[in-house]
Amino acid sequence: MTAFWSMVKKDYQMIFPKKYTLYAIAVLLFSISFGFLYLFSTVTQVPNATQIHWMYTWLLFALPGFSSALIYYEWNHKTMGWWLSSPYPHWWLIATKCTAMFLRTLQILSLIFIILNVNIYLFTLIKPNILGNMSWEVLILNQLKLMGEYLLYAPYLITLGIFGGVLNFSYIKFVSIPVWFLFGITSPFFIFRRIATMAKLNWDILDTSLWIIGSISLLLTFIFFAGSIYTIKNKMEI
Amino acid sequence: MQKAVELRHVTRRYGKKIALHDVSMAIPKGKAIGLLGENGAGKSTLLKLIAGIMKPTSGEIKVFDETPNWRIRERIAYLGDLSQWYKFQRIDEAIQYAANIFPHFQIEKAKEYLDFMKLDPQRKVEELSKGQTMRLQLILCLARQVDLFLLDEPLSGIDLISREKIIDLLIELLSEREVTLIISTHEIHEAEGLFEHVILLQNGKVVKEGDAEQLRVEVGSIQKVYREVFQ
Repeated sequence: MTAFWSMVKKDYQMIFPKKYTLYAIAVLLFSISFGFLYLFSTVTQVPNATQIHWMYTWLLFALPGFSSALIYYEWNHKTMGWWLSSPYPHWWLIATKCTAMFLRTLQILSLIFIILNVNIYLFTLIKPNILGNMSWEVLILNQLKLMGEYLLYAPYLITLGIFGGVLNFSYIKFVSIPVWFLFGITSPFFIFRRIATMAKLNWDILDTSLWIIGSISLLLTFIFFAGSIYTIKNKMEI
Repeated sequence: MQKAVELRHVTRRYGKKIALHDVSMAIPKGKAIGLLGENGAGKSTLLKLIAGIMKPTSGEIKVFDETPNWRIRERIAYLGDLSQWYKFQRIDEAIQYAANIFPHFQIEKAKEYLDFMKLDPQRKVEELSKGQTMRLQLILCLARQVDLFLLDEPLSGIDLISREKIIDLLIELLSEREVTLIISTHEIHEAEGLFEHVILLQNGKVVKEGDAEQLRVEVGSIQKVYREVFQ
Protein backbone atom coordinates (compact mmCIF):
# COMPACT_ATOMS: atom_id res chain seq x y z
CA MET A 1 0.00 0.00 0.00
CA THR A 2 1.38 3.43 -0.88
CA ALA A 3 2.05 6.05 1.81
CA PHE A 4 -0.92 8.15 0.65
CA TRP A 5 -3.45 5.34 0.90
CA SER A 6 -1.96 4.12 4.18
CA MET A 7 -2.59 7.55 5.62
CA VAL A 8 -6.07 7.65 4.11
CA LYS A 9 -6.81 4.27 5.70
CA LYS A 10 -5.56 5.48 9.08
CA ASP A 11 -7.64 8.67 8.86
CA TYR A 12 -10.64 6.63 7.71
CA GLN A 13 -10.31 4.44 10.82
CA MET A 14 -9.87 7.53 12.96
CA ILE A 15 -13.32 8.88 12.00
CA PHE A 16 -15.05 5.82 13.48
CA PRO A 17 -12.51 3.40 14.98
CA LYS A 18 -13.38 -0.28 14.39
CA LYS A 19 -14.72 -0.79 17.90
CA TYR A 20 -17.42 1.85 17.30
CA THR A 21 -18.40 0.68 13.80
CA LEU A 22 -21.22 -1.58 14.98
CA TYR A 23 -22.61 1.14 17.27
CA ALA A 24 -22.48 3.68 14.43
CA ILE A 25 -24.32 1.32 12.07
CA ALA A 26 -26.90 0.52 14.79
CA VAL A 27 -27.52 4.23 15.43
CA LEU A 28 -27.89 4.86 11.70
CA LEU A 29 -30.24 1.88 11.29
CA PHE A 30 -32.38 2.94 14.23
CA SER A 31 -32.47 6.65 13.26
CA ILE A 32 -33.37 6.08 9.62
CA SER A 33 -36.02 3.46 10.49
CA PHE A 34 -37.46 5.64 13.25
CA GLY A 35 -37.45 8.72 10.99
CA PHE A 36 -39.14 6.74 8.23
CA LEU A 37 -41.84 5.38 10.54
CA TYR A 38 -42.43 8.82 12.06
CA LEU A 39 -42.77 10.37 8.60
CA PHE A 40 -45.19 7.73 7.38
CA SER A 41 -47.34 8.00 10.47
CA THR A 42 -48.57 11.31 8.99
CA VAL A 43 -47.99 10.83 5.25
CA THR A 44 -49.62 8.00 3.37
CA GLN A 45 -47.58 7.85 0.17
CA VAL A 46 -43.93 8.34 -0.77
CA PRO A 47 -44.59 11.05 -3.45
CA ASN A 48 -46.18 13.22 -0.74
CA ALA A 49 -43.31 12.72 1.71
CA THR A 50 -41.37 15.87 0.84
CA GLN A 51 -39.45 15.66 4.12
CA ILE A 52 -37.90 12.34 3.16
CA HIS A 53 -34.79 14.23 1.99
CA TRP A 54 -33.87 14.69 5.68
CA MET A 55 -32.80 11.04 5.76
CA TYR A 56 -29.84 12.22 3.66
CA THR A 57 -29.69 15.97 4.38
CA TRP A 58 -28.66 15.65 8.04
CA LEU A 59 -25.31 14.36 6.84
CA LEU A 60 -24.49 17.74 5.25
CA PHE A 61 -24.76 19.35 8.67
CA ALA A 62 -22.70 16.63 10.33
CA LEU A 63 -19.88 16.59 7.74
CA PRO A 64 -17.98 19.66 8.98
CA GLY A 65 -18.16 18.26 12.52
CA PHE A 66 -16.84 14.84 11.47
CA SER A 67 -14.04 16.50 9.49
CA SER A 68 -13.06 18.79 12.37
CA ALA A 69 -12.97 15.69 14.57
CA LEU A 70 -10.07 14.37 12.47
CA ILE A 71 -7.94 17.32 13.55
CA TYR A 72 -9.27 17.21 17.13
CA TYR A 73 -8.23 13.55 17.30
CA GLU A 74 -4.65 14.35 16.30
CA TRP A 75 -4.55 17.09 18.91
CA ASN A 76 -6.38 15.42 21.80
CA HIS A 77 -4.57 12.10 21.41
CA LYS A 78 -1.26 13.95 21.00
CA THR A 79 -0.48 12.29 17.67
CA MET A 80 0.10 15.65 15.98
CA GLY A 81 3.90 15.19 16.18
CA TRP A 82 3.87 12.10 13.94
CA TRP A 83 1.41 13.68 11.56
CA LEU A 84 3.26 16.97 11.12
CA SER A 85 6.75 15.48 11.04
CA SER A 86 5.87 13.01 8.27
CA PRO A 87 8.13 13.49 5.27
CA TYR A 88 5.35 14.78 3.02
CA PRO A 89 4.16 18.24 2.00
CA HIS A 90 1.39 19.82 4.02
CA TRP A 91 -1.14 19.75 1.15
CA TRP A 92 -0.63 16.01 1.06
CA LEU A 93 -1.37 15.61 4.77
CA ILE A 94 -4.60 17.58 4.38
CA ALA A 95 -5.52 15.72 1.20
CA THR A 96 -5.37 12.33 2.95
CA LYS A 97 -7.83 13.54 5.59
CA CYS A 98 -10.19 14.98 2.95
CA THR A 99 -10.05 11.76 0.92
CA ALA A 100 -10.75 9.64 4.01
CA MET A 101 -13.71 11.83 4.95
CA PHE A 102 -15.05 11.72 1.40
CA LEU A 103 -14.88 7.92 1.41
CA ARG A 104 -16.71 7.86 4.76
CA THR A 105 -19.36 10.16 3.24
CA LEU A 106 -19.84 7.73 0.36
CA GLN A 107 -20.09 4.87 2.82
CA ILE A 108 -22.66 6.63 5.02
CA LEU A 109 -24.76 7.73 2.03
CA SER A 110 -24.74 4.15 0.70
CA LEU A 111 -25.82 2.81 4.08
CA ILE A 112 -28.65 5.35 4.28
CA PHE A 113 -29.71 4.41 0.75
CA ILE A 114 -29.85 0.71 1.64
CA ILE A 115 -31.56 1.15 5.01
CA LEU A 116 -34.14 3.60 3.65
CA ASN A 117 -35.08 1.48 0.65
CA VAL A 118 -35.28 -1.72 2.68
CA ASN A 119 -37.65 0.18 5.00
CA ILE A 120 -39.79 1.33 2.06
CA TYR A 121 -39.81 -2.19 0.65
CA LEU A 122 -40.88 -3.67 3.99
CA PHE A 123 -43.62 -1.03 4.18
CA THR A 124 -44.92 -2.03 0.75
CA LEU A 125 -45.55 -5.51 2.18
CA ILE A 126 -48.00 -3.95 4.63
CA LYS A 127 -49.29 -1.09 2.44
CA PRO A 128 -48.81 -2.03 -1.24
CA ASN A 129 -49.91 1.41 -2.51
CA ILE A 130 -47.32 3.38 -0.54
CA LEU A 131 -45.42 4.32 -3.72
CA GLY A 132 -48.58 5.77 -5.28
CA ASN A 133 -47.92 6.50 -8.96
CA MET A 134 -44.17 6.49 -8.44
CA SER A 135 -42.23 3.51 -9.77
CA TRP A 136 -39.27 1.98 -7.95
CA GLU A 137 -37.04 3.17 -10.82
CA VAL A 138 -38.06 6.81 -10.32
CA LEU A 139 -37.74 6.55 -6.54
CA ILE A 140 -34.23 5.13 -6.82
CA LEU A 141 -33.22 7.62 -9.50
CA ASN A 142 -34.44 10.56 -7.37
CA GLN A 143 -32.38 9.35 -4.44
CA LEU A 144 -29.30 8.86 -6.60
CA LYS A 145 -29.70 12.41 -7.95
CA LEU A 146 -30.01 13.69 -4.39
CA MET A 147 -26.89 11.80 -3.33
CA GLY A 148 -25.04 13.10 -6.39
CA GLU A 149 -25.95 16.67 -5.51
CA TYR A 150 -24.87 16.18 -1.91
CA LEU A 151 -21.55 14.77 -3.07
CA LEU A 152 -21.02 18.10 -4.86
CA TYR A 153 -21.38 19.91 -1.53
CA ALA A 154 -19.23 17.38 0.32
CA PRO A 155 -15.73 18.67 -0.64
CA TYR A 156 -16.69 22.17 0.50
CA LEU A 157 -18.12 20.95 3.79
CA ILE A 158 -15.21 18.59 4.46
CA THR A 159 -12.52 21.22 3.83
CA LEU A 160 -14.53 23.74 5.85
CA GLY A 161 -14.51 21.30 8.78
CA ILE A 162 -10.78 20.61 8.41
CA PHE A 163 -10.02 24.34 8.21
CA GLY A 164 -12.22 25.01 11.25
CA GLY A 165 -10.40 22.25 13.16
CA VAL A 166 -6.95 23.50 12.20
CA LEU A 167 -7.87 27.09 13.10
CA ASN A 168 -8.94 25.99 16.53
CA PHE A 169 -5.35 24.99 17.35
CA SER A 170 -3.74 28.07 15.84
CA TYR A 171 -2.96 31.65 16.78
CA ILE A 172 -5.68 32.85 14.43
CA LYS A 173 -8.64 31.15 16.13
CA PHE A 174 -10.77 34.24 15.49
CA VAL A 175 -10.83 33.40 11.75
CA SER A 176 -13.00 30.39 12.58
CA ILE A 177 -15.89 32.77 13.41
CA PRO A 178 -16.42 33.95 9.80
CA VAL A 179 -15.75 30.39 8.58
CA TRP A 180 -18.54 28.89 10.69
CA PHE A 181 -20.69 31.93 9.89
CA LEU A 182 -20.28 31.09 6.20
CA PHE A 183 -21.40 27.55 6.96
CA GLY A 184 -24.37 28.99 8.83
CA ILE A 185 -25.50 31.16 5.95
CA THR A 186 -24.90 28.59 3.20
CA SER A 187 -26.55 25.64 4.93
CA PRO A 188 -30.17 26.84 4.54
CA PHE A 189 -29.49 26.75 0.79
CA PHE A 190 -29.19 22.93 0.90
CA ILE A 191 -32.54 22.63 2.62
CA PHE A 192 -34.49 25.33 0.82
CA ARG A 193 -33.28 24.06 -2.52
CA ARG A 194 -34.59 20.61 -1.64
CA ILE A 195 -37.88 21.81 -0.18
CA ALA A 196 -38.46 24.25 -3.05
CA THR A 197 -37.75 21.54 -5.62
CA MET A 198 -39.98 18.99 -3.94
CA ALA A 199 -42.76 21.40 -3.14
CA LYS A 200 -42.39 22.95 -6.62
CA LEU A 201 -42.00 26.46 -5.21
CA ASN A 202 -40.72 29.01 -7.67
CA TRP A 203 -37.69 30.44 -5.89
CA ASP A 204 -35.32 31.45 -8.67
CA ILE A 205 -32.09 31.32 -6.67
CA LEU A 206 -32.82 27.73 -5.75
CA ASP A 207 -33.02 26.72 -9.40
CA THR A 208 -29.23 27.19 -9.61
CA SER A 209 -27.78 24.61 -11.97
CA LEU A 210 -25.57 21.85 -10.60
CA TRP A 211 -22.65 23.18 -12.68
CA ILE A 212 -22.74 26.45 -10.79
CA ILE A 213 -23.16 24.71 -7.45
CA GLY A 214 -20.27 22.39 -8.31
CA SER A 215 -18.04 25.29 -9.36
CA ILE A 216 -18.78 27.33 -6.23
CA SER A 217 -18.24 24.26 -4.06
CA LEU A 218 -14.91 23.63 -5.79
CA LEU A 219 -13.81 27.24 -5.34
CA LEU A 220 -14.66 27.20 -1.63
CA THR A 221 -12.97 23.81 -1.31
CA PHE A 222 -9.80 25.29 -2.77
CA ILE A 223 -9.94 28.32 -0.45
CA PHE A 224 -10.40 26.21 2.69
CA PHE A 225 -7.80 23.70 1.55
CA ALA A 226 -5.25 26.47 0.97
CA GLY A 227 -6.25 28.09 4.27
CA SER A 228 -5.64 24.82 6.14
CA ILE A 229 -2.19 24.44 4.58
CA TYR A 230 -1.25 28.03 5.38
CA THR A 231 -2.40 27.67 8.99
CA ILE A 232 -0.56 24.40 9.54
CA LYS A 233 2.60 25.81 8.01
CA ASN A 234 2.66 29.16 9.77
CA LYS A 235 0.18 29.52 12.58
CA MET A 236 -0.11 26.29 14.54
CA GLU A 237 -0.03 26.65 18.31
CA ILE A 238 2.22 23.67 19.01
CA MET B 1 33.68 20.16 12.51
CA GLN B 2 30.89 18.92 10.25
CA LYS B 3 27.55 20.44 11.20
CA ALA B 4 24.22 18.64 11.33
CA VAL B 5 22.27 21.70 12.43
CA GLU B 6 23.12 25.37 12.44
CA LEU B 7 21.10 28.15 14.06
CA ARG B 8 21.72 31.83 13.36
CA HIS B 9 20.03 34.36 15.63
CA VAL B 10 16.95 32.21 16.03
CA THR B 11 14.08 33.63 18.05
CA ARG B 12 10.75 31.93 18.58
CA ARG B 13 7.83 33.62 20.30
CA TYR B 14 4.50 32.21 21.46
CA GLY B 15 2.44 35.37 21.51
CA LYS B 16 4.26 37.63 23.98
CA LYS B 17 6.28 34.80 25.52
CA ILE B 18 9.75 34.24 24.11
CA ALA B 19 10.65 30.55 24.00
CA LEU B 20 14.01 30.97 22.27
CA HIS B 21 15.90 34.22 22.22
CA ASP B 22 18.54 34.99 19.60
CA VAL B 23 20.08 31.51 19.66
CA SER B 24 23.13 30.94 17.47
CA MET B 25 25.00 27.65 17.56
CA ALA B 26 26.17 24.70 15.52
CA ILE B 27 25.31 21.10 16.41
CA PRO B 28 28.04 18.65 15.34
CA LYS B 29 27.23 15.82 12.98
CA GLY B 30 27.49 12.16 13.99
CA LYS B 31 27.38 12.72 17.75
CA ALA B 32 24.99 12.10 20.63
CA ILE B 33 23.95 15.49 21.95
CA GLY B 34 22.37 16.14 25.32
CA LEU B 35 19.98 19.08 25.30
CA LEU B 36 19.61 20.00 28.94
CA GLY B 37 17.66 22.61 30.81
CA GLU B 38 14.84 23.25 33.22
CA ASN B 39 11.17 23.12 32.26
CA GLY B 40 10.31 25.97 29.91
CA ALA B 41 13.94 26.51 28.89
CA GLY B 42 13.07 26.12 25.20
CA LYS B 43 14.27 22.53 24.58
CA SER B 44 11.04 21.27 22.98
CA THR B 45 10.71 24.42 20.89
CA LEU B 46 14.26 23.99 19.61
CA LEU B 47 13.58 20.38 18.59
CA LYS B 48 10.33 21.33 16.84
CA LEU B 49 12.13 24.06 14.91
CA ILE B 50 14.84 21.63 13.81
CA ALA B 51 12.18 19.08 12.81
CA GLY B 52 10.50 21.76 10.71
CA ILE B 53 7.18 21.37 12.54
CA MET B 54 7.20 25.09 13.26
CA LYS B 55 9.06 28.08 11.91
CA PRO B 56 11.23 30.52 13.85
CA THR B 57 9.81 34.00 14.41
CA SER B 58 13.15 35.35 13.20
CA GLY B 59 16.56 33.99 12.36
CA GLU B 60 17.68 31.10 10.24
CA ILE B 61 17.97 27.35 10.75
CA LYS B 62 19.89 24.97 8.52
CA VAL B 63 19.61 21.21 8.82
CA PHE B 64 22.20 19.44 6.70
CA ASP B 65 22.69 22.80 4.97
CA GLU B 66 19.01 23.12 4.06
CA THR B 67 16.19 25.15 5.56
CA PRO B 68 13.88 22.57 7.23
CA ASN B 69 11.23 21.43 4.75
CA TRP B 70 9.22 18.30 4.11
CA ARG B 71 11.95 16.71 1.98
CA ILE B 72 14.56 17.07 4.71
CA ARG B 73 12.16 15.27 7.08
CA GLU B 74 13.07 12.07 5.21
CA ARG B 75 16.41 12.40 7.00
CA ILE B 76 14.95 13.35 10.39
CA ALA B 77 13.09 11.21 12.91
CA TYR B 78 11.32 13.28 15.54
CA LEU B 79 9.80 12.00 18.76
CA GLY B 80 8.26 14.81 20.73
CA ASP B 81 5.69 15.67 23.34
CA LEU B 82 2.92 15.36 20.73
CA SER B 83 4.12 12.00 19.41
CA GLN B 84 1.77 9.50 21.00
CA TRP B 85 0.92 6.63 18.68
CA TYR B 86 -2.59 5.97 17.29
CA LYS B 87 -4.43 4.08 19.99
CA PHE B 88 -6.77 2.13 17.72
CA GLN B 89 -3.91 0.26 16.05
CA ARG B 90 -2.25 -2.99 17.21
CA ILE B 91 1.52 -2.95 17.57
CA ASP B 92 2.03 -4.99 14.38
CA GLU B 93 -0.33 -2.63 12.52
CA ALA B 94 1.64 0.33 13.86
CA ILE B 95 4.88 -1.19 12.52
CA GLN B 96 3.28 -1.85 9.13
CA TYR B 97 1.83 1.66 9.00
CA ALA B 98 5.20 3.20 9.87
CA ALA B 99 6.83 1.04 7.18
CA ASN B 100 4.30 2.34 4.66
CA ILE B 101 4.65 6.02 5.44
CA PHE B 102 8.29 6.45 6.42
CA PRO B 103 10.83 5.99 3.62
CA HIS B 104 13.76 3.75 4.64
CA PHE B 105 11.86 2.24 7.57
CA GLN B 106 13.56 -1.02 8.54
CA ILE B 107 10.74 -3.40 9.32
CA GLU B 108 13.05 -6.25 10.35
CA LYS B 109 14.94 -3.93 12.67
CA ALA B 110 11.64 -2.82 14.20
CA LYS B 111 10.69 -6.44 14.87
CA GLU B 112 14.12 -7.04 16.41
CA TYR B 113 13.65 -4.00 18.66
CA LEU B 114 10.15 -5.22 19.61
CA ASP B 115 11.69 -8.44 20.79
CA PHE B 116 14.37 -6.59 22.69
CA MET B 117 11.79 -4.31 24.32
CA LYS B 118 9.56 -7.30 25.13
CA LEU B 119 6.45 -5.99 23.40
CA ASP B 120 3.79 -8.34 22.05
CA PRO B 121 2.97 -7.37 18.42
CA GLN B 122 -0.65 -8.46 18.86
CA ARG B 123 -1.38 -6.02 21.68
CA LYS B 124 -3.36 -2.88 21.06
CA VAL B 125 -1.60 0.43 21.65
CA GLU B 126 -4.43 1.58 23.95
CA GLU B 127 -3.71 -1.39 26.26
CA LEU B 128 -0.06 -0.42 26.79
CA SER B 129 1.28 1.28 29.90
CA LYS B 130 3.00 4.66 29.64
CA GLY B 131 6.44 3.03 29.66
CA GLN B 132 5.46 0.44 27.06
CA THR B 133 3.94 3.14 24.85
CA MET B 134 7.17 5.12 25.00
CA ARG B 135 9.13 1.96 24.14
CA LEU B 136 6.91 1.43 21.09
CA GLN B 137 7.20 5.06 19.98
CA LEU B 138 10.94 4.86 20.31
CA ILE B 139 11.04 1.68 18.22
CA LEU B 140 8.96 3.36 15.50
CA CYS B 141 11.35 6.28 15.56
CA LEU B 142 14.67 4.42 15.76
CA ALA B 143 13.79 1.83 13.11
CA ARG B 144 13.92 4.62 10.56
CA GLN B 145 17.19 4.81 8.67
CA VAL B 146 17.74 8.54 9.01
CA ASP B 147 20.69 10.81 9.75
CA LEU B 148 19.22 12.81 12.59
CA PHE B 149 17.14 11.68 15.56
CA LEU B 150 15.38 14.24 17.73
CA LEU B 151 14.11 12.79 21.00
CA ASP B 152 12.23 15.07 23.33
CA GLU B 153 12.17 13.74 26.91
CA PRO B 154 12.12 10.04 25.96
CA LEU B 155 12.82 9.04 29.58
CA SER B 156 10.38 11.32 31.31
CA GLY B 157 7.70 9.89 33.61
CA ILE B 158 8.28 6.23 32.84
CA ASP B 159 9.34 3.26 34.95
CA LEU B 160 12.94 2.31 35.67
CA ILE B 161 12.92 -0.85 33.54
CA SER B 162 11.56 1.04 30.52
CA ARG B 163 14.16 3.76 31.03
CA GLU B 164 16.97 1.21 31.16
CA LYS B 165 15.69 -0.54 28.05
CA ILE B 166 15.45 2.75 26.18
CA ILE B 167 19.03 3.67 27.13
CA ASP B 168 20.22 0.22 26.03
CA LEU B 169 18.43 0.64 22.72
CA LEU B 170 19.99 4.05 22.16
CA ILE B 171 23.46 2.63 22.94
CA GLU B 172 22.80 -0.15 20.42
CA LEU B 173 21.73 2.38 17.80
CA LEU B 174 24.81 4.54 18.35
CA SER B 175 27.12 1.53 18.11
CA GLU B 176 25.48 0.32 14.89
CA ARG B 177 25.10 3.49 12.84
CA GLU B 178 26.78 6.85 12.55
CA VAL B 179 23.90 9.16 13.31
CA THR B 180 23.31 12.47 15.02
CA LEU B 181 21.14 12.03 18.10
CA ILE B 182 19.75 15.00 20.01
CA ILE B 183 18.08 14.07 23.29
CA SER B 184 16.43 16.51 25.61
CA THR B 185 16.12 15.07 29.08
CA HIS B 186 15.95 15.72 32.78
CA GLU B 187 17.21 12.24 33.60
CA ILE B 188 20.84 13.32 33.34
CA HIS B 189 22.16 10.67 35.68
CA GLU B 190 20.88 7.80 33.54
CA ALA B 191 21.60 9.29 30.14
CA GLU B 192 24.85 11.09 30.82
CA GLY B 193 26.99 8.21 29.55
CA LEU B 194 25.43 8.65 26.11
CA PHE B 195 26.34 12.27 25.57
CA GLU B 196 29.31 13.30 23.46
CA HIS B 197 28.28 16.92 23.33
CA VAL B 198 26.00 18.93 25.61
CA ILE B 199 23.96 22.09 25.23
CA LEU B 200 22.46 23.77 28.28
CA LEU B 201 19.50 26.07 27.77
CA GLN B 202 18.06 28.57 30.23
CA ASN B 203 15.19 30.96 29.56
CA GLY B 204 15.50 30.44 25.82
CA LYS B 205 19.24 31.06 25.66
CA VAL B 206 22.25 28.77 25.37
CA VAL B 207 24.14 29.18 28.64
CA LYS B 208 26.75 26.49 28.16
CA GLU B 209 27.80 24.23 25.33
CA GLY B 210 30.69 21.96 24.68
CA ASP B 211 32.32 18.59 24.29
CA ALA B 212 30.97 16.27 26.98
CA GLU B 213 34.28 14.55 27.62
CA GLN B 214 36.06 17.85 28.13
CA LEU B 215 33.34 19.03 30.55
CA ARG B 216 33.64 15.75 32.47
CA VAL B 217 37.39 16.27 32.79
CA GLU B 218 36.94 19.90 33.87
CA VAL B 219 33.99 19.55 36.24
CA GLY B 220 33.63 15.84 37.01
CA SER B 221 30.29 14.91 35.42
CA ILE B 222 27.53 16.40 33.29
CA GLN B 223 25.31 16.29 36.35
CA LYS B 224 27.76 18.57 38.15
CA VAL B 225 27.84 20.91 35.16
CA TYR B 226 24.02 21.02 35.27
CA ARG B 227 24.02 21.81 39.00
CA GLU B 228 26.68 24.46 38.54
CA VAL B 229 24.65 26.23 35.88
CA PHE B 230 21.17 25.96 37.33
CA GLN B 231 21.67 26.18 41.09
